[in-house]
Amino acid sequence: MSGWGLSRMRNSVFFLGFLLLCCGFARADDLNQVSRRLAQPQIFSVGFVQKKHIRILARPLVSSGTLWVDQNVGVVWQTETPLSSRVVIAHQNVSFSDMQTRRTIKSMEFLADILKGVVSGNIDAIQEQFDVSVLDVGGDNKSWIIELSPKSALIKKGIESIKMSGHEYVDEIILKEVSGDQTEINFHGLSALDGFPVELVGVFEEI
Amino acid sequence: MFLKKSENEKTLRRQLACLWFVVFFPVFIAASVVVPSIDFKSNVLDLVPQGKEQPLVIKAQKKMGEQFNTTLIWLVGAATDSAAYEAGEELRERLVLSGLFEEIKSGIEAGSVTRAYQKLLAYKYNFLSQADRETIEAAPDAFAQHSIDILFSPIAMQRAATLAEDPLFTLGSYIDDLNKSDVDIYKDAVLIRKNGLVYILLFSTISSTEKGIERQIELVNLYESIKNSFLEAQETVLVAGFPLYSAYGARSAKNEITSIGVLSVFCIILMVVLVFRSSVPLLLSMISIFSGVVAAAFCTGLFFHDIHIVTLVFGSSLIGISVDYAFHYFCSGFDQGWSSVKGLQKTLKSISLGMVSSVVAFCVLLCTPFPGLQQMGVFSASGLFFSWFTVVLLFPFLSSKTSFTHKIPFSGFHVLYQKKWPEFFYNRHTFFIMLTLIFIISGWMVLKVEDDVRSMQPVDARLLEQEEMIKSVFSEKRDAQYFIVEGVSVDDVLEKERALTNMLDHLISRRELEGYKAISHLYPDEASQKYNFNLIRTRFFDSDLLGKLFFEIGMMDEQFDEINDEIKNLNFTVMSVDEWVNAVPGNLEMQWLGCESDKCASLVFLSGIQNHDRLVDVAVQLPGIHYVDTVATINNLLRDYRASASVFLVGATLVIYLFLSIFLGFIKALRIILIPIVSFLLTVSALSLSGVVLSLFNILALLLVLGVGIDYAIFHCLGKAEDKATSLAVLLSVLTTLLAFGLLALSDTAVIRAFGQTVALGVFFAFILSPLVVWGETGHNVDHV
Repeated sequence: MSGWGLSRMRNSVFFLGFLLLCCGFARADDLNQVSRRLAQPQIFSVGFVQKKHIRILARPLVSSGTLWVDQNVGVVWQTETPLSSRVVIAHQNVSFSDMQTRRTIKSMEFLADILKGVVSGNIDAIQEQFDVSVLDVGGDNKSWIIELSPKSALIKKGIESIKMSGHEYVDEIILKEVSGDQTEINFHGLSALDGFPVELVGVFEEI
Repeated sequence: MFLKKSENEKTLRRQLACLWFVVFFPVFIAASVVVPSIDFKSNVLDLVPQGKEQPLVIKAQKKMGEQFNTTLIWLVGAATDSAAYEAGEELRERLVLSGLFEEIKSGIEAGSVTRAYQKLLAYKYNFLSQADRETIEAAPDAFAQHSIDILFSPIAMQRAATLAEDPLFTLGSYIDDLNKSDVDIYKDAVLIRKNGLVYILLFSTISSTEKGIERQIELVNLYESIKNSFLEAQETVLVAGFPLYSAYGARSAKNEITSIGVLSVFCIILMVVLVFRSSVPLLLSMISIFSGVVAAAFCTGLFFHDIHIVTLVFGSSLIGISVDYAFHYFCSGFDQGWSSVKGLQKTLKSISLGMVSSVVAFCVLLCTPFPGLQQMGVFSASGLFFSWFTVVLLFPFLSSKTSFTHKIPFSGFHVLYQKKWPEFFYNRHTFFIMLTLIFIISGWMVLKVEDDVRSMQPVDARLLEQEEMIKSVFSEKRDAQYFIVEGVSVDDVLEKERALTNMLDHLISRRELEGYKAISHLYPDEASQKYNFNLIRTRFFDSDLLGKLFFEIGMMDEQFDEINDEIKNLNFTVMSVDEWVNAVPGNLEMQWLGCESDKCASLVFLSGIQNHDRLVDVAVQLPGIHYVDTVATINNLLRDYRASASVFLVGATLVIYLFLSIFLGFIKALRIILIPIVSFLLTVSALSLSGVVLSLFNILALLLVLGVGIDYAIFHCLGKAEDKATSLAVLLSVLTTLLAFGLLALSDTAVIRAFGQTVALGVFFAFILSPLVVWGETGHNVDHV
C-alpha cells in the first residue's frame, strides 16, 4: 500500500475514534442534562394512576393512590382505589398489607432498590442496576425520555425494559415485562414535604 | 540340583532371562491396561469392612463424606453492598480461572426459586404454606380477595406473569416460605449482613478429576494469594472446608518428603555407587523394585478393581524390603572367582526363604475383614514375589559382565559386627538379657495408644478460627454429627423423623441443642398433599368463588375456563419425596437417601450440639434411628484396624515361624523369629518411653520391621561367620532403609513421623540383634534346606 493510502487509512481510524468518543461524551452529556432537569425533592408525595395490562385479562387493572417517598429511607405506595392496600419498600425489604393481611414478601426484595430508584428518579441508583439510554432530551420545554435496560441476569428474567419520562419530575413510567405484561404509571401533583404525615411515621420500622 | 547340572552358564543365564521375560512381559502389558483403569480411592470410609455397617449407614456416610471432602465455603466481606458484590464477583472469577473447581455457586442460588417453580408446577395444588392453609381454612373469601388485591400493587409482577398457571399464587407463596432466610439479594447475589460488614457467600466443589498433591498445593497457593490481595483492598476473605485443611497438610508433607526424599535418594545413590563402584547394582535394584511395584499394582487391581491410597503408601514401603535381595546378591560379588550364576547359587536359598516367609505372612492379611489390609496383603506379597523373581531370573543375565575388582568395603566393620559384637554379647548375655527385659517391661507399662484422627493431622489454628467466624456469620450452621432415620417406607421414615424431632425439641428447650433440619418438617406427606389439593378445589373452584373474582377483574372467559377445567379434570397425584427434594431450593437432596431393598432413609442435620451423650440416648430410645459421629466413626475404624493389624503381626510371626520350622527345624526357626519379635518389643518400648502415643501407623510400620528382621536373621543364619558379604549386605540394607524411611521420623506430619520413628528404631534393633541369631551354634552355617 502506498504512503498516501496508509495516511488516509490512519486518518479514517482517528476520525472514527473521535466520532465514537464524541458519541460517548454526547451520551453522558445527555444523561447529565436529564439528571440536572430532574428536581425530585428529598421527601415528597405524588398522586399516581397505574394501569396494568395483563395479557390474560381483557382490560387493564386500573388503580390510583398516593406515593410517599423519602429518598434516604424508602417508599410507601398507598393504593386507594379500587381497593385499599399499602406497599412499603425500605431496608431491602418489601411488605404488602391490605384489609386481609400484612406480610413481608421475600421474593420481591431484589426489586426494592429498583422501585425506590425509579419512583425517586434517582439516576445514580438506577445506573447501578440498568443501562440507561436517553431517547429524548427536548430543548426548551425541558422534557426528557430515558429507557432502562437491566444489567443483571436476575432482573432480565422479569423486566424487559423501563421507560421513564418527565420534566422537572418523573411524569410517567412504563414497565415492560418479559411475560408480555406492561405497567403504566402516571404521576401528578407532586408536593415536596418536610416529613411524612403522622399516620405514616414509623411505617418503615415495622418491616 | 538344576543349577549344578548346567554346564553352560551363559545358556543358563539366557534361559533364566527368557523365563523372566516370558512371565513378566505379559504382566507388564496387562498392567499397562489394567492399572490406568483402576479406581484410586482416598476416602477413609472406603476402608470400612463390608457388612460391618448397614448399607444405608454406609451410603449416608459416603454421601456426607463426599460433600465434606470436596466442599469449601468462601465468605468475602466488605463495607457496602456494592463493594461486597464486586468482591464476590472477583472471587468467583479467580476461583473459576484456577481450574481447581468443578462447581462454584452462591449460598442460595437466586435462580433456584424459578427452577423449583417449574419442577413443582405439575403438582401446584398439592402445596400450601402453613399460613396460606390456615387462612384458606378459616376465610377463603379473604384469601381470594387478597390474591386479587395484590395484583393492583407494583410488586405483583411475578403473580401477574403466573396468573394463568398459579391463579392463587399458592405455589409461589409455598416456595417463598421454603426459601426464607435472613439474607438479602443484591443484583443476582445473596448478601449476609453481620458485624457491620456485608458478606457474599460462595460454595466451591473441588474437581473430582483434578486430584493429587500438586493440585492440593495449588489450592493452598490460590487461597493465600486471594487472601492477601483482598486484604490489600480492605476486604475480608474467610474460607473453611476439609479440602483446604488437607491441602495444607499435603503441602507440609510434600515439602518434607521432597527435602527428605531428595537427600535420602542422593545418599542412597552415593552409598551404593561408592560401595560397588559401579552403577549396575543401582540400576538393577531399581528394575527389581519397579517390576515389584508394577506386578503389585496389577495383581491388586485384578482382585479388587480399586486401590486405596493407604495400600499404595504402605505397600510401596514394604516392597522396599525387596532391595535386600538385590544387595545380598551383589555383595556376593566380592567373592573370588565370582560369576553371576555362582552369586545366584550362593544367595538363592537365603533370599528365597526370606521372600517366601514374608509372602506367606502377608497372605495372612487376606484373612482379615478389612479391605485396606487385604489389599496391602495382595500388594506386598505379589510385589515381593516379583522383585525376588527379577533378582533370581534377570540379574544373572544383566550382571554377567559385572565384577568388583576392589576389596570389599567395610571389612573392619564386618569384624566388629559379625565377631566382636556377638562375642561382647555372649560374654555378658545375662546382663543384656536382663537389661532388655527391664527396658521392654518398663516401656510396655507406660504404653499409650490413641486412635483420634484429629491428633494425627491437627488443623492450623488460623484455619480453625476462620471456621468459627464463618459459623458465626452463616446462619445455616451444621455440626459434623447427624441422625440417620431408617424405615420400611417413606411414610415410616417421616413418622420416625417426627418422633425424633419431638425429642430434639426437648433438648433445644434445655439448651442442649441449638437446632436441627428435618425433611419431615418441610415435605408434606401424601395425606397432606391430598388435603391441600382438595381444599383448593372445593373452596375456590367448586364454590365458584374464584370465578366471580376473576370476572370482576376482567379475566377472559376462555382463560378462566381453561383454569377451571384444568383443576376439575385433574386427578390428585402425589409428588414423591425423591422428586420433591430435587425440586425445592435449599440443598435438601443431601438429606434424603432414598429407598432400596425395602428400606428408606433420611438424614436429620444438627447444629449447636452441647451434649453428645443426650443424642446417643435419643438414638437408643427410638427404633430405626442411628446417631452418626463421623469423627468417632473414623476413630473407631482406626482402632479396629490397629487391633486387626496387631493381631496380624502376631499371627504372621507365628506363620513365619511354622514355615521356617519346616525347612530349618524348630530351634533354628525360633532363633530367627526371635529377632523381629525382640525388635518389635524394643521398638514399642522405646517409643513409649519417649512419650510417643502409638497409633495404627506405628503398627503398620512394624510390618516393615517384620520383613526386614526376618531377612537379616535368615541371611546371618544361612551365611558363614567369616562371610563379609552378609554383613555388608545387611549394612547396606539398614542404611538404605534408614535413609529411605527413617528420616521421615523428622517430619512435622504426625502420621509420617510415626511411621518413620517406628521404622528407624525397628530396623536399628533388627540390625543389632540379627548377628546374635547364631549365638551358641558351632559353625553357625548349618544348611538344612
